Amino acid sequence: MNKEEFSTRIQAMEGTLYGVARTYLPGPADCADAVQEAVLRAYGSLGSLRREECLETWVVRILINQCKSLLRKQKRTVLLAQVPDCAAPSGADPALHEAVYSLDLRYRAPFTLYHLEGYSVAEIAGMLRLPQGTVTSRLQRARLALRHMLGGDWE
Amino acid sequence: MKRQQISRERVYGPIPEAVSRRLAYTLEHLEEEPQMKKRSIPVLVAVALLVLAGLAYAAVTGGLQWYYETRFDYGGNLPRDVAQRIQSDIPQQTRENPLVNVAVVGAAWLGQGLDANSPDSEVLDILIRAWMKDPDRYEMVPDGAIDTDGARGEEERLEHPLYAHRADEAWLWANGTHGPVDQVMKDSAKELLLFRVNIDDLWAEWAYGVPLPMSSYDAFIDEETGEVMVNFSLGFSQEAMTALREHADSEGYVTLVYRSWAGPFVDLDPNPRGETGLTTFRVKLP
Repeated sequence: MNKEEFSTRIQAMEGTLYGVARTYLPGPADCADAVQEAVLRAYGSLGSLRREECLETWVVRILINQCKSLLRKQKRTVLLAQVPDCAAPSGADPALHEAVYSLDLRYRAPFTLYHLEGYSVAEIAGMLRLPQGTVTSRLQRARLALRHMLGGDWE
Repeated sequence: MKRQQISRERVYGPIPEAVSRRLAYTLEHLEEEPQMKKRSIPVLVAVALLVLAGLAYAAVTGGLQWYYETRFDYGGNLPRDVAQRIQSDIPQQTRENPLVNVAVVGAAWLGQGLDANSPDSEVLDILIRAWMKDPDRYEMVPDGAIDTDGARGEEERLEHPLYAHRADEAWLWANGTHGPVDQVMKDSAKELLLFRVNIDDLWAEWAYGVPLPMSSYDAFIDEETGEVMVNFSLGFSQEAMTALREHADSEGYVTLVYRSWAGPFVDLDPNPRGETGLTTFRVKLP
């Protein structure tokens, strides 16, 4: 894969990269850092990617780990676990944002990947290194929690 | 609310310009041939200064000037504006770490306008060098070189075709490649030693009450010496600068403290044991 193809495919997943980063990190500056680092790491190790059709899921996986790494470095995991008061970004639905952010990260991450980014349970299992059954159960718990907070049909 | 009504934008808002700009910049500046490369705000800064200054300067091996020259491919053309800001003789005292020696080998106030998120902040670059006390026993890497693709530490494990390695096996990214630790180490008969300087540890001891936001962080191995280099860029608000000046001594120096950590790598150990050291050093304010 050359630089142009890599860039085109990464640019096309800009929204996904932001959504995934935002799942883990509360601020746009941190999101930008994590996205940049993940893209550079991915590009730097393109040679190790065995299946080019998996580029997007591979980059998301690297980004997730980059976000975790950033959290570890900044020791903000505890804070992030308590972020229901995290202000909604401009343009977001405040109630929905607060509800999703109130989910534990274990549930928020698969929720974002499945419901907001459209990945399959199998792909999410690969990204989060979880059994598919665990992903499914976490998605169910996320939906239950959101239904409890927001009402409506989440099944 | 129905599940079908949600979207990324409704939950997380539209993509911030900061993210879009950074991604576009990153993609635009990828090298033609993929290779491991460092990112960061100082790149933008120094490139801009290079255009403005355009004056050549020789590299000084091992210090902050060497760092700029080699890490950012200046090839001996570091702008004079940058070179003149470097403080290479850093007064310091260390409570020794039993496993590693550490030293601040350079500091430089790079000025304002370098952090897009806080353009009026004053950026301080610091370079720390760490080398092993027992190189016959250990091979040292920054702790971030372990598992950058996330294989380590998950409670639940999975064999998945996307990944060539087991989910319960940490990978090491070093020596221009990556893979299982024992295959990437130069000498797998040695123990792998992890080194880090935590940004929180770096400043937690500092009693000035000044917040120290980190603009960027870079840790890597000097391939020639095998030593670990750690660069911090810190953005000080004007309020923080005022507080610093109030604490400066008569010669304009402030005292900073950082804590280093080094410990043998143990795969999947959630509580790795290691040793800490404490270094106090002085930097002259701009």
